[in-house]
Amino acid sequence: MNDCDHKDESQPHRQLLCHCAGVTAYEIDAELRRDAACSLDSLGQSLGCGVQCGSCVPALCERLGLSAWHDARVSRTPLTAADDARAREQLICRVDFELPAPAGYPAAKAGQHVVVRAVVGSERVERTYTIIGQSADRRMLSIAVRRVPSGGLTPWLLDDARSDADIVLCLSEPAGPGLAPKGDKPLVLLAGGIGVTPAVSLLALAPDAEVAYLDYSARTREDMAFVDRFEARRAEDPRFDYRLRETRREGHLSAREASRIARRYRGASFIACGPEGFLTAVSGGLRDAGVPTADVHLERFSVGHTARRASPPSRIRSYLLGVMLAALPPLLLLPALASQRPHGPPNTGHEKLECEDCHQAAEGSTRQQLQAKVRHAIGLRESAAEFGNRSVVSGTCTRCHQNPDDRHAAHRFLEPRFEQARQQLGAHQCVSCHREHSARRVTAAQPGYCVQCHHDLEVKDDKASPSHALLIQDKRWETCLQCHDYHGNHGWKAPLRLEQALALQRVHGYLAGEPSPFGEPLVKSREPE
Amino acid sequence: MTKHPRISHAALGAAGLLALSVYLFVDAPPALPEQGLTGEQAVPVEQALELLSQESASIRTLYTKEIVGPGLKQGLEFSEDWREAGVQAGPLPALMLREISNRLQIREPNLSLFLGSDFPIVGANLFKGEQAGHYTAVKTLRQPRFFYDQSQGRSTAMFPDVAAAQACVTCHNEHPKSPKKDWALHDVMGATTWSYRGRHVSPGEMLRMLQQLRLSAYDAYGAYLKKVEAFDAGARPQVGPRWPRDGRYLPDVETFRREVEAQNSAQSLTQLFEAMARRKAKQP
Repeated sequence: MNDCDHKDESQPHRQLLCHCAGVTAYEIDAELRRDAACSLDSLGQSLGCGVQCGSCVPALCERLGLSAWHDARVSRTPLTAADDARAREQLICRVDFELPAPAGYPAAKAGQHVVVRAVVGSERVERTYTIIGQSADRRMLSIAVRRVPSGGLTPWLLDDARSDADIVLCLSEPAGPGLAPKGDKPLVLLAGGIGVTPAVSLLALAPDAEVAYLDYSARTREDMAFVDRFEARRAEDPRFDYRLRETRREGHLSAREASRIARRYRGASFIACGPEGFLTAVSGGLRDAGVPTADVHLERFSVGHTARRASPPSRIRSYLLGVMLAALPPLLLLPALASQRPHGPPNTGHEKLECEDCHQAAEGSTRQQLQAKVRHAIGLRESAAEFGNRSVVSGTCTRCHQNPDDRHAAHRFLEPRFEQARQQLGAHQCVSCHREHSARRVTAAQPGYCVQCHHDLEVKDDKASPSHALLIQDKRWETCLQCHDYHGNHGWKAPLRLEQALALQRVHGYLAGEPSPFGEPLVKSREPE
Repeated sequence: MTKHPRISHAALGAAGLLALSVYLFVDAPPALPEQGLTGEQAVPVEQALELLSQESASIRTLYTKEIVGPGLKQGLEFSEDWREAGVQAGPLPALMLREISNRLQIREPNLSLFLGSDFPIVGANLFKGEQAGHYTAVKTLRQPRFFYDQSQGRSTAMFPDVAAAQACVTCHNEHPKSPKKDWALHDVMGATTWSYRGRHVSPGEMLRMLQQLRLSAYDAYGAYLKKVEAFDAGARPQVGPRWPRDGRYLPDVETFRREVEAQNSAQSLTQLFEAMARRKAKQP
């Protein structure tokens, strides 16, 4: 075992080791406990791990106590120009690994991957790359990498300030199924950016494979690598053709273009590798052209999830969750759930009322109501229509609270001379002072609103003490309700002396919902029908 | 691999829009009738208010001429303080109208009735602002005035309140709080203001409002009789089928009702027919 070979005890027990099959370290350890003699192959058969991209094979080997890593010396060769900052960010380098002890290192197949492990700073970093070449003696192995400025490995690996000799890393053995051609079908390769590496791997490590066409996209010609190899291949094999697509000038490879390519090369197998958007367009175009799914292989940059246990994508999960949340409020309309409706506590005396006692259904069906509202909005209907429930107006209140001798009936304030009271207090509407769902009796903020109409009151033969004139002069409007029952619903006789009047605190308590200090009501409210 | 047809977002959107259009505009089920009605079944609210005004005036005249007038001669009392405990009196005609109005507005929240004057005994009943302007025209022309109160969104009608009985004139002239002491018979002493939330009514609504007005009148009269029950034995008239013209009697509610219907029904029905005829005449 080399320095890279030791079980990483820092891995959490539930960490995914095989992303392709969704297998955790816990599951692998459980399998080991069940069968101490299990091997990489048996794990692949029983759990499905290590048989797809191969990136997890080194970790699986470590778990099995096997040697997983090979020390390697590095040499780096830039394949694209890095004349400016943008080009430096898009730099593609060939990285050649020299294995000091190649004995036992297996031959790589076209399209297989290798895991590179290095210590960057204080962190151990592992990344998977497509093998683009291997010497016959297996001493040299090559990959191609693109600098990812925010990446964990490539900024360190491709740092010009670091010499090849300063780079210490380990290499795994080749893993993954590779990209073996299927039967006699010619191959069509669609590559985007650094996604050209599977194509290079095929041309280099499977020279006998019939590759019919390569479509290679990059932003500019200067960002493209391995063009010389493609040209050489075309010179050797008249069946092979390639196209370089500069996306800055020609645009990206679209789904329509991919369909056109598929129709031109009917019967071929397609291998595509590139950024996610590139793969989406290609897969859509190939699908539209009727290419069978089995003849399409999409190679992604990141390790994909093809979980062993099927689970819906997170997007569908989110949609379902959204639909469930949206369905919750309408459920509250069910009579059985009426008590759960977030309407707030009822006002004093309304505790036994049902919602429908005040919120009566509007005329017509839902569709009729919607039609009427739309027609009214666009001028095809003169009168507006109510939707859902009728508006709760003073008439709704007087269905139960009928006192023809009400001293301050809401309808009294409809007289034109009470315009100011209507504007300032909304006195013509019961709810202006008795807003429902407030757990109070009166919700009007200031009990001294009597000033609105009675500011010029003159009481002839005034026997009150202090007199009304004095109380008005001193703006003692808070004393009104200490003597007077506003609606006159109670058998209450206003005292003549202020010191005999109700304490202000009792009045405020009454407005808040406490028992009436004005005595028993003479006019009781009716039960709703 | 089977080719799966892709449905574009535009096609989905168009389909959704089509479905929504059908849901909103296709007439199945029938459209909701207009509120307050327009078109064939509509009667301008002015006609309805005129009908109601005539009905209430007729009831008030009946009360004045058949109960208050003869009742006073029989020693019955009628006072503005009739509601006070210990006051053994009934409501004056204007106050009876106020009682009817209070009850009517509970039954018909869209309808309201107020009394006012340019020389009221109760200062709060003084016409002000725009209403005062309209009342001037009512008083001068002795004709109803119809207008739409934009601030409240209500159709409003003011009807002249004419002193029809000498008792009204005398009482106002002799009242200590009256600001005018030289009222004469047939003077326009004030106006009754009716208002309704809407511009049109159906014939059915007109009939219903008329019915509610009468029920409110019977109710108000019943409140007077309830007060009479609390009179001292010596002051209490006999309540039954007879009227004050026959002695110290008061008609019961049923008797009062029959008289109202006998007196008003023909006239109200005629007015209703006229309103419907005028509505039909307006149609092309």
